Amino acid sequence: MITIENVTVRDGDTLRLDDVSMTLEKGVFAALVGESGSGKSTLLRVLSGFLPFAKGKVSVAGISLAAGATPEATKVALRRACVLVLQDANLFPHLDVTTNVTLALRHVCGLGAQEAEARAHATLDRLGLAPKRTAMPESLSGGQAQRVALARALVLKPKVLLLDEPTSALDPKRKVEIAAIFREQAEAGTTVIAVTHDEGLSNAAHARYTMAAGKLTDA
Amino acid sequence: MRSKMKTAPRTFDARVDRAIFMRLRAHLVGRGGSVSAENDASHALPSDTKAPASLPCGGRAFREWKRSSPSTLGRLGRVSARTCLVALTLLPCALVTVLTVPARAEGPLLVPDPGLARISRTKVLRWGGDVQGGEPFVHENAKGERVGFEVEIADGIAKRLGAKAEFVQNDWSNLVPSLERDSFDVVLNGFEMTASRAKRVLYTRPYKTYASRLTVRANARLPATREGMAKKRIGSLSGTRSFEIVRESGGEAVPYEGCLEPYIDLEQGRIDGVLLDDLIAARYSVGRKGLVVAGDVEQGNYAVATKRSEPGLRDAVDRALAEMESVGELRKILERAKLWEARDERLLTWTAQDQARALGQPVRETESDGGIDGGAGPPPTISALPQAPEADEARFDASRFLLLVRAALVTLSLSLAGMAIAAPLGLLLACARTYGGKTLAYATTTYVEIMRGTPLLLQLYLLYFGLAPWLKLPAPAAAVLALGMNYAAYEAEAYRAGIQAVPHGHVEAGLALGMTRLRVVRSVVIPQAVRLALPNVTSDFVSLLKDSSLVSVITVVELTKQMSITAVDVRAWGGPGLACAILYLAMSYPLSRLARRFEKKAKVENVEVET
Ligand SMILES: Nc1ncnc2c1ncn2[C@@H]1O[C@H](COP(=O)(O)OP(=O)(O)OP(=O)(O)O)[C@@H](O)[C@H]1O
Ligand SMILES: [Mg+2]
Repeated sequence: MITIENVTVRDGDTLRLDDVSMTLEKGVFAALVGESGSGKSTLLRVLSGFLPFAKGKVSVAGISLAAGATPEATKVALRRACVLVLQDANLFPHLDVTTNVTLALRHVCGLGAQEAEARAHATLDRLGLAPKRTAMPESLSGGQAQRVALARALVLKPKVLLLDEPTSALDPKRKVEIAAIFREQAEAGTTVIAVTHDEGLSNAAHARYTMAAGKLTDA
Repeated sequence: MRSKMKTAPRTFDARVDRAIFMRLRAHLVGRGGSVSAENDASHALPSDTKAPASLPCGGRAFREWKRSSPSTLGRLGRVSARTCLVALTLLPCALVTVLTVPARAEGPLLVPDPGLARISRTKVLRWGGDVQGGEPFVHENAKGERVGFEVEIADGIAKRLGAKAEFVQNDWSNLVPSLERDSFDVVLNGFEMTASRAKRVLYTRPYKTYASRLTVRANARLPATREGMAKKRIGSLSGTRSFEIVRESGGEAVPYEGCLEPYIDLEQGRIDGVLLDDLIAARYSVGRKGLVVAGDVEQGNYAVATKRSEPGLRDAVDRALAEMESVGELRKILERAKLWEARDERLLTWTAQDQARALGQPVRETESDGGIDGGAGPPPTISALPQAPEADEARFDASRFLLLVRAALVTLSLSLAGMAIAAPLGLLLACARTYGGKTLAYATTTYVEIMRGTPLLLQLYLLYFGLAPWLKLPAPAAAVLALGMNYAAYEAEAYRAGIQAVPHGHVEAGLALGMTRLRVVRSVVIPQAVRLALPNVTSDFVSLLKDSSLVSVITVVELTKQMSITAVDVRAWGGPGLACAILYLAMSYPLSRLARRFEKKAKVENVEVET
């Protein structure tokens, strides 16, 4: 599902990713750990087409990326299959919680308003956000906002789910719940990579990768 | 108090002024003033030839009294009974004189007519006019000099007053208020003699006869009568007698500021006719395809006007004009300008009755005294005419206020329509500039810079008159389009700032969910940018509301234009101006409040976004 071959990302003279290679099969839930600044977020951004790389090859959900700039159409196709949840929630402040979740459903998956809403509600309920369906983002707590951001991605049922510290703002009980959800998702066929500093989450994963100074040190 | 005294004792008062003025002039000449004694006697003091006969107790008695007053009581004991009697009869006379002499009179010499005094002091005759009136009136030649037959007339008058003529540029429709606030001494610029203006100014004899000429399109068959103009759109210069005539005949008077524009619009079919002085029609309608003269509606005269408080100056100017006429100088000036016509012969034998008729005042048959019917003797003076009462008929009343309210609605709808263009066009420009690539960004930047870097007034002129040969926009459409296109440039910047203020994380989040860039811009960036720009856009709307007053230059009568029309009608700026201000505020204040509310809201949201 995901193959990374000798990928290098340069920023001037410094190497943000240094000859990284990795292969993940369909339905695998992998945790990516490592100290701050080691290049975890950088790797996720490469996988979702936000960051061009200098050397190597990448293939995600059947879409290949080569070194250098990626055409816009490839990026769009890539992101339809492989959804990235950023470190910050970045909810759209002018839309309520449900609309934040339905927006991509309607415009990316082409669902009708009612169907999209029904699916959004189901996902929100699953993440414990039933009472916040009509809330505006500004009225949410940090943890609630983080879960809405997760709901936005989960509702799309992507082939690949890239998560950048998805549980950083959650309480311990919620962390356990969410970890279970990721496992479920993986068992349903989604390949999940979660960058995390949270032991509980990395323990719940099928595989665990560690990064240090732009290098993947063990698998 | 002023008005009560003005009507009856004015002529008497004026003569006293003149008598005193003679002393003043003699005094000045004695001190080495450049005014020659002949000039003094023959021109500057019009009625002095008649003075010995007609001047009653007033002048002399006053002088006697003035001289003797310090010791009047002491002397009284020694004088004879006859002198006593004379003195007693003269005293009330003198008192009346003292009371009616302008309050400014003080010092050893009583200052006479303030206008004449000012001119003899400064040796300058300031004459007001508007070069925009164009040729043959005072206008600018290629070298930027003021030329035209009126320049020569002004020089001729000034020479006879022992002064130098100095032209003062002033918007034509505001010549009277500017005269009153002493921006200049006289009005001399195709200023028609009318009964209503005579309530505001003093007129000399005329120096040129004109006719209000109706020009139409050849296929229109509009008769040159008041009936013919009724219910038709007739262009004219705002504030002129011709403009008045159109309004009196029930036509829709379309106001213009320049002479050429009405004929352009007539040619383009935007109006049905142009009523303007034949001097103008003959020059500015030529060469326009399909325009013909329908005929003359009314004949009138141009004269020099002075302040009501300066009859002495009026008389002096009148006398100067009379001399210019009698020695043939005026005729030569008009002939040089190719303006002399048979009908102008009448000006050479102008009488007090003619003057009264020209000003719509009752003609007194008894005053047909000598010196009028040509030949020997100096030309007659017109100073003996009864003064028109001060303006009183036109009031700023409820119905005129209603006119302002209607004009305010015009302003509001123009502004709303303008904004309805500016807001979406501005957004489109902002998007083109931000997302459209290099070429589009360059094109929109150019547009924005041109629109913001040139005056809206110029854009209005170009859009309405400049484009006319290819695109005949009706005036309101051109007004809305110009406002919309101009403000679109400002809105573009407001929206661009809004777009830039949307956090990049939102864009990435949208893209990360698989949305296309276009979709992210449409669903995520623009809605936020519009909200962020809302306070600026709203306060720009207030500016647009005020800037909409500029569209009057292309004949749209909106609030400010209506105010100035009303002000000219009622001869007062205070009431209409205040009402106009209130109406503008009534429209703009709620908007400003709204802008502030949006601003507060945006601030709250922004804080949330940043945390
Ligand atoms: N936009 C950027 N431009 C240049 N360098 C960057 C940029 N973002 C991150 N870096 C650098 O790249 C390296 C890897 O950063 P990255 O964000 O991938 O770290 P991380 O492993 O995700 O850390 P954390 O756990 O703190 O999120 C760091 O040295 C960082 O300074
Ligand atoms: Mg990171």
